[in-house]
Formats: sequence, C-alpha cells, structure tokens
Amino acid sequence: MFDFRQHSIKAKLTLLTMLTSGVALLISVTLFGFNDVRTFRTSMVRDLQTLADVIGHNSASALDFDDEASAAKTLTSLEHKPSILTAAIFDKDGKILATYMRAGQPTAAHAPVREADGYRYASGRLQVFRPIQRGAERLGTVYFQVDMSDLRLLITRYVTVGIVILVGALLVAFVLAARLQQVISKPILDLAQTTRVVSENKNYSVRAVKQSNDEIGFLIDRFNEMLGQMERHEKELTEVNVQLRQSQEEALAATEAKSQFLANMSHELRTPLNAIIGYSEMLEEEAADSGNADAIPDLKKINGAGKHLLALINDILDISKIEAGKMELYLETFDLKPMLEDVVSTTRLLVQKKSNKLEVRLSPDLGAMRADLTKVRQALFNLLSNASKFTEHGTITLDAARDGVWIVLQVRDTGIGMSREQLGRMFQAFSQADASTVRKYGGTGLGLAITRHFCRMMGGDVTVASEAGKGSTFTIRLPAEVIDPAKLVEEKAPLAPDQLPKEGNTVLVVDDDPSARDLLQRFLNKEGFHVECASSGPEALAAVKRVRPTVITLDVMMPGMDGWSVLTKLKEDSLSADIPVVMLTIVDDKHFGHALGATEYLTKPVDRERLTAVIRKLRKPAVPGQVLVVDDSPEVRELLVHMLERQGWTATTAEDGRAALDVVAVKKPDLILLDLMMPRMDGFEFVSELRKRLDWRAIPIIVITAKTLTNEDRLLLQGHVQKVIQKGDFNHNELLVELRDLVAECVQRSRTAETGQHVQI
Amino acid sequence: MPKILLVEDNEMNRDMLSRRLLRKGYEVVMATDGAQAVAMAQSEAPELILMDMSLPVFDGWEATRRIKAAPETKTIPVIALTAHAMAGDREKSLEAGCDDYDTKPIELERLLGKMETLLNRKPL
Repeated sequence: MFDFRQHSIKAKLTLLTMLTSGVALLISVTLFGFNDVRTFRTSMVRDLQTLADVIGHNSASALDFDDEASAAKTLTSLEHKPSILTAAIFDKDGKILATYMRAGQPTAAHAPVREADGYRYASGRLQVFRPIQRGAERLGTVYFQVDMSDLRLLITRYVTVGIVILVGALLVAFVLAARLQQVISKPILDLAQTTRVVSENKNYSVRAVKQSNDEIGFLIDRFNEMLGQMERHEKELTEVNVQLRQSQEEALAATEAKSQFLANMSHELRTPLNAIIGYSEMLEEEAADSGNADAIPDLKKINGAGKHLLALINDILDISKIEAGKMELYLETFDLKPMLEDVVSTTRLLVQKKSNKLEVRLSPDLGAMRADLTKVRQALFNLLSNASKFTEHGTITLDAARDGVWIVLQVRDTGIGMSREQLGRMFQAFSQADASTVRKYGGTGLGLAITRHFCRMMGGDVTVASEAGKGSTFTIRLPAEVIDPAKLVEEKAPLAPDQLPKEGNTVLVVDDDPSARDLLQRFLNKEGFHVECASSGPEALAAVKRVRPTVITLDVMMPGMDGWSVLTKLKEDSLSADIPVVMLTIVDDKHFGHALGATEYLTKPVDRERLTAVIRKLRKPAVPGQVLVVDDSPEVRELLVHMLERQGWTATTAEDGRAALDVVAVKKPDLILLDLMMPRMDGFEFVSELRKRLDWRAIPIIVITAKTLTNEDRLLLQGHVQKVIQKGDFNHNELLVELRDLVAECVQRSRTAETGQHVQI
Repeated sequence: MPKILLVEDNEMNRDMLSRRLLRKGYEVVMATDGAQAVAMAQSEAPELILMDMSLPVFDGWEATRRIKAAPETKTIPVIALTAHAMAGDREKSLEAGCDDYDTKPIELERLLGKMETLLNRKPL
C-alpha cells in the first residue's frame, strides 16, 4: 500500500502536481474524444439520411409502377459508398421492391424486414429506415445497413492519441513539478536541516535562511527569533553557572581559609595566654614562698582573668568549628566513674566560690561507655559551671545513671532558674537569658549551645526544666554506645559472615566435598544465615552438640558414615531430634529419607531459591518484630512490606511523617524504615518530632533515601538514625539483602535492650 | 630528687615549667627539639620525660617512638604534653608509646600528680 504520509515533502508535491495535471488531462481528452465521436456519428447518420432521401426520390416512380428493375438500378448507385453493406426499398405495405447487396458480402440469411422509421444500431451495424414520400403521401421505405468500422477506427485512434498525449503531458508535468516543488520544499527542508544542527550540536548560533515572504518565510522568522532567545538563555545560564561555580569555589576557599585561620589563631592566642596563666601562677607560688602575701590577690586576679579569657577563646573556637562543620568525634571506650570524678574535682573550686554544696550520686552500674571523652567532659563541665555560676548558697546535684542503652547525666541546682521565655532561648548561640546576665555572670553564652551540639553529635541530647527562682535541671542523655556518624553512611558493606546473628539463624552444612560446602556457605551467608560446616558424619554430630543449629543440610553420599546414618543418629538423640534436617542428594529417595525423619528432601544440583525457601520456612522467625515503613511511594511501601513479611516480621505503613507519628502513638514499632523526602512532614522533621518523646527515642531508625545528603542533613540525622541507605547506590536485590540483615540486627538489638531494661527495673 | 627531661620548643613555656619544677625540687634538663630529646634521653638518663608534641626536626610522637624503641631508654616514662585538646591526640600519643598525657595550659597540680604516679611505678 502506498502510504502518502511516509514520503518526503518533495515526493508529495511532485505526486500532487502530476496527479492533478494527469486527472485534468484525462478528463479533457476523454470529453474531447466523446464529443468528436458523437459529432462524427451524427454527421454520418445525417449523410445517410440525405442519401436515403435521394434514393427514395429517385425510386418514387419505380414504386408507383412497382418497377423492381428500375428500383434495383437506383440502388446500384450506392456502389460508390463502400460503407453501405445492404440496402432495400420497401413499398408502402412493407413488401420488398428491390434490394442491394454490396459485392463480396455474404448473402443475407434472410431478407431485411421493414421496421419503424429512424436509425438504430444492431449487431455492430447501423440500420437506417427512411420514408419515401411525395407530399404527404407515403410511397415506401428506404433501408440501409451501414458498416461502422470507420467509427471504431476513429475511436481507436482517439484512445491511442489520448494515451500518447497523457503520457507526454505527465512527463512534462513531472519534470516541471520536480523543479517547481523546490520553491516550497527547499525552505522547509533547509529549516529541517537547521533544526537538526541545533538539536544535535546544541548550537544555537545557527540561523535558517529565509527565501520567501510567504508563510514559510514567516515560520523561519519566528524560528530564528526562538533560536535567538534560546541562545540568549543558554548564554545567560552558562554565565550564571560559571558565576555560581566560581562563588561556590570562593565560598569553599573562604571557609577553608577561615578554618585554617581559626586553627592558627587558636594556637597563636593560646601560646601567649598560656604564658600569662603560667607565669602568674608561678609568681603566686613564689610570692607565697617568699612571704610577699600582698601580691597574691592581684596575681590571682591576673590568673583568673587569663583562665577566663582562655575559656572564652575555646568556646568561640568550638562554636566556629561547629558552624563550619569541622567538629569531629573521636570515639573511645572509657569508664564513666573516673571521668565523672575528674570533672567533679575540677569544678569543686567553682562550686565553692559562691558557697554552694555539690552532691554527687553515681549509680553503681554505670560501667563504661563509648563516646567522645573530651566532649562528654566538656558538656558536663559546662552544665556544672553554669549551675555554680547561677546559684548562691545552694545545692548542686549531679546524678549519673544508666537507663537501658542510655547514659543519663543530670545536673540540678537551686539557683535563680529561668522563665519560660528564657528557656526558649536557652540553647541558642550567643544568647544568655538576657544581656544583663553577661555583665553579672560573665561567659560567652556559648556553653549551652556547644553542649547541646556535642550531645546531638553523639546521638543524644540535653534538655532543661526550670522555674524562675527555684532552680534548673539540665539532663544529658547519651547513647552508651555512640555510633560514629562518619560510618553512618558507608559504602555497601554487607554484614561479614561472622557478624550475622547466630541465634535462631544458624545453618549447619554437612558435606564431604569442600567446594560444595564453600558454595553453600557463601550462598547462605549472602541470604543472611550464619553458617557452620562439617565435612563428615562424626564431625557433624559433634558440631550439632556445640552450635545447636537451627537447620541442618545433610549430604547423603559421604565416605565412612553416610547421611542416612547421621540422620538416624540425630533423630535418636533427644537433644537433636527436633532440629529440622534437609537432605541434599543426587539419589532421589524421598520416602526413605522421610521414613528416617528428614524434614525436607532436595536433589542435587540444589535449586538455591528452593533451598532458601525451605530453610526460611523451617527457621522460626528469629525475633518477631513490628516494623513501620514510612514512604510516600506506594510501590516502595509495598516492596518493603513484602520483604519484611517474608522475614516473618509484621509491617505497618505510613505515607508521611505525620501519619507515621499517629501510627507510632497507637503502637510503638521495634524499627522504623524512613524515607526523607515526603509531603506534609518530611523525614527530618519526623525524626526530630520522634526524638522529643522520651519513650520513643530508643526506636531505631533506618533511613532509605534517594536524596544526596548534605553535611547539614548528616548533622541533623547524626546519632538519631542507625544507618542511612542510599537508594540510588543499590540495585533492588542488594538493597533488600542489606536491609533484611539490618532490620534483623536492629529488631534484635531493640528487643534485647528492652528485655535488659525490664530486668533492671 | 628525680631528674626530669623537659622537651619544649617554646622558650616561655620551657622557662616557666622548668622553674616551677625546680622549685618543687626536681632536677630539670631541657631539650628544644625532637632530635635533641632522643639524644638527651640517652646521655642524661632522666627518670621521666615531659614531651611537647609539636617540635622542630621531628615531632614529639616520633621522638617518643625512637626513645621507646631504644633498649636503654625504653623504660623511661614519657608524658605527652599537647596544646590540642583533642581526644585524637591522646590516642595518638598513647599509640606512640607515651605513658600518660596532659593538655596545655599546664595545671601544675594535675601534672605533678601524673608525674608522681609514673615515678613511683616500679620499673619493669
């Protein structure tokens, strides 16, 4: 089929022109032909009628006398007219008087019969009947039968000439159309070429050439205008981008320079200050030794002012480091008691300065914690020094206790306290309760901002409760095991096999073929199972006693003690009788296996999918848990819920942070899988809302996000979430495997933590 | 009284700390860079070394490593003194072989406490 739309404009235009001229030509040639043929025929009939009249007239007297010979003679004159084949004269009764037959004609089978006057065509011949009259009296009829071959010849000639003309004209039309179509098609084709250059080379500086002032010319003008605008925009965009990149580089360089400057300043400022502090202290000691007691108070003041200045410098450096995102955590494990006693001893003088009493109550189960020692010290020191600054003749109490996975340090004072408004500004940098406090109590007002930041960096927080005139209580809560935020977002690191949970998750692989063992172990590790191996029957029996596996896979064909014997032994021992055994073998003997107590029977080569499904089915859900999935995409929610449920966990869902808070309020989940970018309430806000409730703080959160985290984002999440998984980095399967292991870990941990807590209470 | 090797490149700090230690009755010898510290640990056989960490020639960590590597000096206790009040430094110092660690500005009482603890420790 010819599909007109598929062809080029050029072809279309040519075709259109030829079609139009061809049809017009055909119609005119046909009409001319018809007209000519008709005229020819009419004139032929008229000639014949005239001839018939002449014959009729000439044979009138012959009719009068019924003179057949005379009539025949008259008819003979028709010999000059070769087209007349037969002729006859009838008398008025229709009886034939005379006939004429052209020579060479076969004799007519039957004589002609008179018919009505006029002419008609019969069997390819023209028959003419013409009356013979004298005045009004009818004497008879003349009859001609005429050969039409002249007419046929004429028609044939017409058709031939017509075709020749048509073909010739079409050829001419084609040549003309092929040239003339360019008037229309060329500018369009040029325009198309230009658009191709623009889109392929992203070159907006080219222009289409205008060739005419018609609609195409208009189109080209508009197109060029558009190109101009695009070129301008492109240029502007490039400029803006260059500027942005430049500003960004400048900003980075400036930040870098600022940090470097601060680091240098820190050293430069501290060195002379150290000398001031040191020498004043030394002079003080010497004055005491030499009995020059008068100088001692002044020297003490120099020393005190120096120490104060040092503290201020340290605070300012800390806050600028925090603001530059340069503050880092150095995690170490340390015993809490010596650290606390050390801080208390350094603050004792400060406490006594305003005649305060310090009570320290350390819970006996404090033990060790893993955190940034310096920052914990500094945070606590800030609280104690604040308390002693704003309290006179009162009591300051330090309580330190362990609350499940948390370490809680509480500093209570009986000082001036704070009003509600003052509490609101409490932790902002450079703000003390009001300006007059700076004059009265000194300090930069940075201490609490720094304290809060340190605590949050370590995944905890500091909170305050206070009443004006009655005193304040500051509470630091820190995880006993701080997670390094640098490791929060890490490269894909599936749990190392030795990190996989063992409890209720161990598969004992028994096979004499080391490569088969290795293969199974690696595969099962990947699926999140902890794997122990045994290479023979006796070894397997020993291993079962030692590791108490959740499931055993047992090869049948082994040298010495074969799989069947191992199975029998296992089932005889009450300690191992109810451990499910999956037989793996080349020999298909299901019935025998089941009879001996095998739970499942798989033939080698093992279908991995099937094996995992079987083991998963046999393994009791390691830790039943409730997981909340928060994501605005229904597909992601479904995917995660499916994955979770396959692991034997129950899952609830929420489409945004607010909905998630409602879900948490109804039933506290063991773990939350959280997306960051969501409508209404995003992940960040959700985390901060969740962390406001004390009993919700311990819920572990795993963030799954496609967002590229900025430093700021990371700071916001630091310590509040267990792990950040970047969606884009993983293919689905890897993501699921990783997530599955993490969830298992988290759910188990949160369960353990909870039980631990209960035991304590 | 015990002989202390004080390694410190800053003149004022050196003067100050040495005078205060002298007044407390210690015998004090001084080195101003890492190389000198290693040499004097050999020649002076001090009973304790106070080591600043940012030193010319080679730094305090390197000096400590060398002192702790030499059999004659490896039993001499070293206290690292550093201006950077960072937990990372503490670990770094202990890794280099320092026996203890204190931050500047020096709180004499605290430092003396640490020194006495190490001096009274029975040599291995």
